[in-house]
Amino acid sequence: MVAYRKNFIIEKRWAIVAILTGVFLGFGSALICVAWHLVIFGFNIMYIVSPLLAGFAETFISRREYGKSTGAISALLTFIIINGYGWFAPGWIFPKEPVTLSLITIIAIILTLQAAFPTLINYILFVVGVGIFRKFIESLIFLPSRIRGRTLEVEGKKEDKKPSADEIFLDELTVPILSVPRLEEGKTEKYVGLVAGEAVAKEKETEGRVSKLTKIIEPTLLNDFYLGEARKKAIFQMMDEAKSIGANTVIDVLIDYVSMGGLQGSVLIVTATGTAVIVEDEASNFYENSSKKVPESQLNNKNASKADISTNNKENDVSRVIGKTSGDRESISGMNKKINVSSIINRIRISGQIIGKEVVDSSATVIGKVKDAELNLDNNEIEEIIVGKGSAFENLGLSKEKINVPFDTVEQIGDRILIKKISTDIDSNDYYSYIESKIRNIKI
Amino acid sequence: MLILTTPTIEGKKIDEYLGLVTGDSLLGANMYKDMFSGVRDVVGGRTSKYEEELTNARKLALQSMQEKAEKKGANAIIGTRVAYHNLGGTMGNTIMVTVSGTAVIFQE
Repeated sequence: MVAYRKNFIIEKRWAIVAILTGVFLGFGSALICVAWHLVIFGFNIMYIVSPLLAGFAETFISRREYGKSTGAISALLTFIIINGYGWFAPGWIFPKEPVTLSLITIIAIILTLQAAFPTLINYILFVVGVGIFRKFIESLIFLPSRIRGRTLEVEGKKEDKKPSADEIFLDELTVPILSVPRLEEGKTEKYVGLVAGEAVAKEKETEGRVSKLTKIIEPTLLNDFYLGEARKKAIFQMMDEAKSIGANTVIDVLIDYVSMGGLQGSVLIVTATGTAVIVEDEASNFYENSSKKVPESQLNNKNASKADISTNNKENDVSRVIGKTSGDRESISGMNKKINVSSIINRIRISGQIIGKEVVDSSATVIGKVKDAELNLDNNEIEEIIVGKGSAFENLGLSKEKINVPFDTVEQIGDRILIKKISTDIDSNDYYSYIESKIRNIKI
Repeated sequence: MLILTTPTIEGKKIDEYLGLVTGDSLLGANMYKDMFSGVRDVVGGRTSKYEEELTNARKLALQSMQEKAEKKGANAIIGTRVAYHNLGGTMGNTIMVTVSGTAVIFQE
């Protein structure tokens, strides 16, 4: 037992030396500070200098001789000794310098403790502190709505019965992507390689900018994530990659969700991995297997698949055949169109590029930011862009004014979107109503 | 080098199985970056930074696996799995991308 303790001391001797040196230096510097009255802003600098010096010396020695840091024990000891002296010891040698609990003292204490116990203090600072801060901000934000006796909108409306967006997109593909490792009966012509796609599931943006701030520190719900969006993005990134290396479908697809933690709420990564392959025929094969008929459809399909820019006629044929062969797919045959992979990707890309951009008219009046774009599904063209006015009220979630701008008024798309000003002598409010009336005319 | 996630290569005969090959890469998503991406979200930007870095990490992992397979003399890797792990921590977190597969020689 004694031998063990001896060994322990020998092993730790440099750590002890480091701590003692640190305490000595810290206390010495504190004495000097007091003796010379090194006071800044009515506050003796020893409360900051001494623990720092002690901690620095200790770390330096222990790193060098002991091999690892001992934590800033000496800084803590110095701090306690100084304050103990200031508070309790009678001021024989030096004038007493009692610590008053000022902001600087608190910061010094936190700094010292942080150096000594980094993990614990960081936890307290970032989890407990942020939590308290959040409650505070929350109460501030909900105060006005409480006064007005109205709650902010919390729950999004869930009215859609149709399949979610990515399912529709997957149905629109001429070649289905599969999660099984192999197609039946040797239809795989060529393996191209592994493809993958990643996307970060963003949290849903709330209407107001202030509530966006609370979102950062609020616990997240599954509803708060654009999970479907992210999955779609991951899948399309994967398919984009597959297409770029010449494949026409992806098999053995695995979709995975990984949490990334994070201090301001969690972030989800959605990943999709699969094997890009070239299959010998397109869509009809898969449906043909289930119902063995329509030999002429294959011909049409082959034509459709060979010509990348297939005409509407043929695509319609394909969809009609598919609609016929699989009765349960009414939703697709109802839509009566088939779009190839690249056009879907383009669509997502286009709307992704436009959304969020500022809309400016030719007289440099800022109209607002693009909220959304209406796409014509037949020819993949943007019909109109929906512009929010972007006023301060809207940012606070109080007003929801939107303007639909027909796409043919758009002159140029760069960092901003420039639209034509139709008449120069109408002021901006009239301008909105002018555009709105124009849209109404179009719709009628 | 053919890298596939499927357990077989259809229509091709596999001559020799050379064994497991792996590759990994770490993606440091530290607290400060995390905060910045949060800030960018607030001001209306996108968290595409993560996605870019994820893609890079995955490519690195695949590349190191491919190098190992090439050293073994393989001409394909089958049964590849790409996995993303989160290594947590209070100060920040790290994403680990691991890939593993079976190096094989198949008749081309």
